[in-house]
Amino acid sequence: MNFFNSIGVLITNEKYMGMLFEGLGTTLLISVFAALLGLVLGTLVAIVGISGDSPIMKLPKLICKLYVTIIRGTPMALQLFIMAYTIFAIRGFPKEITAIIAFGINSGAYVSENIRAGILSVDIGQTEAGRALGLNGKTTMVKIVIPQAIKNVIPAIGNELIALIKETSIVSMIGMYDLTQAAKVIGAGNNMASYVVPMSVAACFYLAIVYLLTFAIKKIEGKLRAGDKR
Amino acid sequence: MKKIITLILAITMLLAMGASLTSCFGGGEIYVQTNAYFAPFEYYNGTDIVGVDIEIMEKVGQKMGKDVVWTDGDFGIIIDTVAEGKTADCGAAGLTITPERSEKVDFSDPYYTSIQYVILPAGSDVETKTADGTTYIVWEALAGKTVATQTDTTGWIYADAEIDGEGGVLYGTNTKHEAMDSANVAAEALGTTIDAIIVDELPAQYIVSNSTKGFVCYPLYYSGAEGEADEPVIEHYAIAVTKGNTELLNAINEVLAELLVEDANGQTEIEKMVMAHMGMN
Repeated sequence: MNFFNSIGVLITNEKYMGMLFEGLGTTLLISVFAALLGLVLGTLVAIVGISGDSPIMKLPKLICKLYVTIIRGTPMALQLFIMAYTIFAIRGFPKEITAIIAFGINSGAYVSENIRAGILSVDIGQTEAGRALGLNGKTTMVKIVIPQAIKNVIPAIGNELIALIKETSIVSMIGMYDLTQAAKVIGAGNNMASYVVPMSVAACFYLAIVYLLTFAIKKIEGKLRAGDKR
Repeated sequence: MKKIITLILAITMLLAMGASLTSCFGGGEIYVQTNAYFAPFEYYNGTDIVGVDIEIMEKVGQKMGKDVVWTDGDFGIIIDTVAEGKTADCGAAGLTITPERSEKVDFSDPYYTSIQYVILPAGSDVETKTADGTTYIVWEALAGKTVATQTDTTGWIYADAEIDGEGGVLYGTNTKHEAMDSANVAAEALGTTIDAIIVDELPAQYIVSNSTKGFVCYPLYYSGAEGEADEPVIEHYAIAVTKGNTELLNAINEVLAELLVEDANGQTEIEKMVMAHMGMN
């Protein structure tokens, strides 16, 4: 019963709720911009990845391959650490930007693989049919393959966005005031001196964001699949 | 030829942009690295970092006519960032002077003397001793217990040496040492998976007085040799400054000297700040 009482104390306390909302703002700011950066980066890398084997594309392809391998193969916490304390170790450089870039680059590697898989999942017959009808390679890609690929990619991208939002909780490591940091501060000795309660409330915040996002993705998916007979 | 000129111009422009970027970010400010989970020295009040160290550095800023910019981060990163001097001029986080740290950074004069404390859950079976009216715990009493500390703090350094280090007081006594994110996290597990927390005096009192779980805390002592009294585990706090930045170091030392003058009641300004932040003035 003590637990629920403490939750009551927390959510009726204006100061604590203010702190949580402040943290929520940072979490959303990082998530939204990192997701956008990740989508752009991911799309670029995916396009390079599936492009034909011409000699000019050799170097960009190698760079993209290295990027995906390194970013997917190392922990996010370490990437954030290196970003904050080595690459962007500039006085007064806004940490929000550091975090957005770090998470955007990380997300881009996963998104690129999702998009690549989506494009490859469209039957080769579609491309062949397009070319047989006299469309050139670019038009076939833009007008025939990509519209079908988007539909296949949406669930995977949604998954990545959800993972991204929750992963931003590690920014407290570099001293940013996000939702998790706010919960930690409320749990500190000079406030509630209990971690479990503020952390649980913060968890509800995360759950709410993710639920809203899932709902939106389901809606988009439904619209895209309206013409499918399944 | 035209292309080469364009290229050179482009590079110059980029460099100039870089230079102006650096200059607009770094000016007449003192950048201080901290770890804001060490009440009463630095802690979050709402979304602001406050505490004794903050008041000290604000005074230094006034003296030098500069603004003070605070950066929060992991405790373990403070010495490195200050040693590098790229993102911080100094570190104020209740830092204890140790020989290893002194090799990397310059320390100001010590401004606070702290004793290591042990926090115990209510009804703990850890044996206490009493001498000269002080109740304390000796290292040996923690044998066989699971002891938690905050990673890289002095509590951790002591526990690492005495519990995990060969030749330590508790080495080979089946005592476990767990490193935690902060003493507050450890307090959450105290009484269930953890038997004792080693942390500095004031944060220990802070946690005990704010917790509703009936924790107690005692100073931690080294057992004296035959016939000698037991000695507390003492440490001195100071502010770490990037090596070579004598201007800032001198300003900090001047401010500390002013704050350490005892008033008529034998109380220094720093002691008063500590009391105020502990809510017991």
